[in-house]
Amino acid sequence: MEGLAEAVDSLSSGTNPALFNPTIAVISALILTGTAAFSYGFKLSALIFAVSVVLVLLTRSPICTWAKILMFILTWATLVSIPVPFITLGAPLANLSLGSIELKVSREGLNAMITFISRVVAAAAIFTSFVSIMGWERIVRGLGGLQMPRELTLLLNLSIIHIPLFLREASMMLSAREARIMRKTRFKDVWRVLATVVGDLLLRSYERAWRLEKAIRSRSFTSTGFLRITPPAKIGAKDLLLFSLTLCILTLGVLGGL
Amino acid sequence: MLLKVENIYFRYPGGEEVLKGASFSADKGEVVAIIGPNGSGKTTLLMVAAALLEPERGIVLLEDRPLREQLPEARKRIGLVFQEPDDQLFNPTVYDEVAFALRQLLSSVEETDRKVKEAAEKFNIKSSLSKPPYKLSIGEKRMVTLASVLAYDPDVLLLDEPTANLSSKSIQEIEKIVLNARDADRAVVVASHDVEFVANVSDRVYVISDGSMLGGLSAKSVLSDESLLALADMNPPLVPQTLRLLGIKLDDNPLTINDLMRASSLATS
Repeated sequence: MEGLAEAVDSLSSGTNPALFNPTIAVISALILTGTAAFSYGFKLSALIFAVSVVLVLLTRSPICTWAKILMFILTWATLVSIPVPFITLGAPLANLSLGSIELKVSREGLNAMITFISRVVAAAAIFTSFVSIMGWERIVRGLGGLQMPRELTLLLNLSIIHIPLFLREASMMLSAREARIMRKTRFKDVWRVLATVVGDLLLRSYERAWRLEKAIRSRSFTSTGFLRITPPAKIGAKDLLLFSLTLCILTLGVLGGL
Repeated sequence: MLLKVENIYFRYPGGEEVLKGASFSADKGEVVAIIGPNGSGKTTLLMVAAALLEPERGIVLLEDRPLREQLPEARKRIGLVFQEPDDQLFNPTVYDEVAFALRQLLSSVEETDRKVKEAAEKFNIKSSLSKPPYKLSIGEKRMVTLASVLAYDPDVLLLDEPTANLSSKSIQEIEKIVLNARDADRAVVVASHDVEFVANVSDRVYVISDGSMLGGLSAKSVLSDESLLALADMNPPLVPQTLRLLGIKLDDNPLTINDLMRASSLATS
C-alpha cells in the first residue's frame, strides 16, 4: 500500500516537469496517443514507440517504471487479443485441434492481432513517457490550458493530492490493526480486517472532504474565484520542436496511410 | 471591536448541541486564546467565526456589522488556519497554495509572483515553492498554511491548534509569527491546548466548557486560576507550577520564563 502511494506520488511530480509547456505537451501527448491508437499498420506504431523511448532516455526518466507499465499493458493486450487470429476469416496459416474442436489460425487474424498489440503498446508508451516526464500535476495544468472545465481540473488535482494520502492512511490503519493481532490468522480473516478498514476509510474520507470544502471556501472571495487557474506558461524552442515532431508524425499517419 | 461572536448555538445534523451560547471578542492588536478540553467545540467556534458554519442562533459581527451580510468579500478580511495542514492544503504546489487567494485578489501576474515570493521568504519556504505541499514535513506544512493565509493580509487571523504535532523550535517560530501579527494590528484568535504557548502569546484567554465560554480576562488571571484551568482540562504553565512547588510567591504572578526573569530582576534591583 505504501509502495503504491510512493508510485502515485512519483507519477504526480514527474522527472522533468518544467521541460515543456504543459498545454503543448498535453496536445502532443493526445495527438501522438491518438495517432498510435488509430494507426493502420505496424510502421507508425513502431515510430511512435521509438519516439517515446527517445523521450524517456533524453529526459532520464526512470526507464524501469516505464518498462514495467508497458509490460503490464503488453500482457493485457496479448491476453485480450488471443481470440483474434481464430475468429478472423482469411488464408489459413495453421490448424489446431482442441479435442473435438478445430481451430484455424488465419494470416489476416494474426496480422490484426499484431497490429492491435502494437497500437496499444505504442499508445501506452508515448502517453506514459509524457506522464513520467511531466507528472500528472503538469498534465492536469495542460488540460486547464486547453480550456477544460475548471471544476474538472480542480477535481483531478484534488484526486492527485488525495489518492496517496488515502493510501497512506489505509496502510497506517492496516498496520495499527496488524500490531494488535496476537495469534496466527487464517487467510479468510484478512478479509475481516480489510472490511473494518474500508468502513473507517469511508468515514475518514467523508470528514476530510467536509473539511476540504471549508478550506476552499475560507479562501474563496467570490463565488467562482476559486476556479481561477494558473496563468499559462511561456512557449519555448523545445515546445516548438516537440509540436513540429508531433505534426510530422500525424501527417505521416494521415497522408502516408501508415 | 473588530470581531464579535455573540451567543452562538450550534449543533451538527443529528448530533448534540456543541455550542450553547458561546461568545467572545477580539480587537485589533490583541491575541485572544480559547482553551478547552477535546471535543469542547473550539474548532466549531472558529468555523462559525469564519462564517463557514451557520449557527442555529447567535451572530458574528465584523466591525459591528453582521458578517453574513458582508460575504463573500469579507472572507479576505478573515484568515482561518486549520488544525490539520493536510485538510487545508489542496493545491498542486506550494507556490499555487500561497498564490491561491492572491490570484483572486490581484489582477497582475507579476504582483502575485512578488507577493508569493515575499511570503515564501518570510516563512522560510522559498526552497519548497515548486514542491507538492503534501510531501513536506509537518513543520513545513504548518508554515505553508500560515503563508497561504497571511499572504493576503487578513485583519483577523483564526488559528486552530497551531502548535499541534510541532517541535519546540517550530513552536517558537509560530509564537514569533503570532506576535508579529499582533504588532501588525491584526486580531489574532488562537484555539489551543498548549498552555505554554497560550501563556507566551495571549493577551486575553477564554475557557470553553460544555459549549459556553468563561473568562475573557487577562492571560495572567485566567492561567493562574486553577479552577478555570481544570474546566479546560489543563494544568497551569510550568513557571507558576514550579514556583508553587518551591513555595515561592512573587507579586507579579509570572507565567513565562520572560515574566520570571523580569520579576527576579525587579526583585534584585
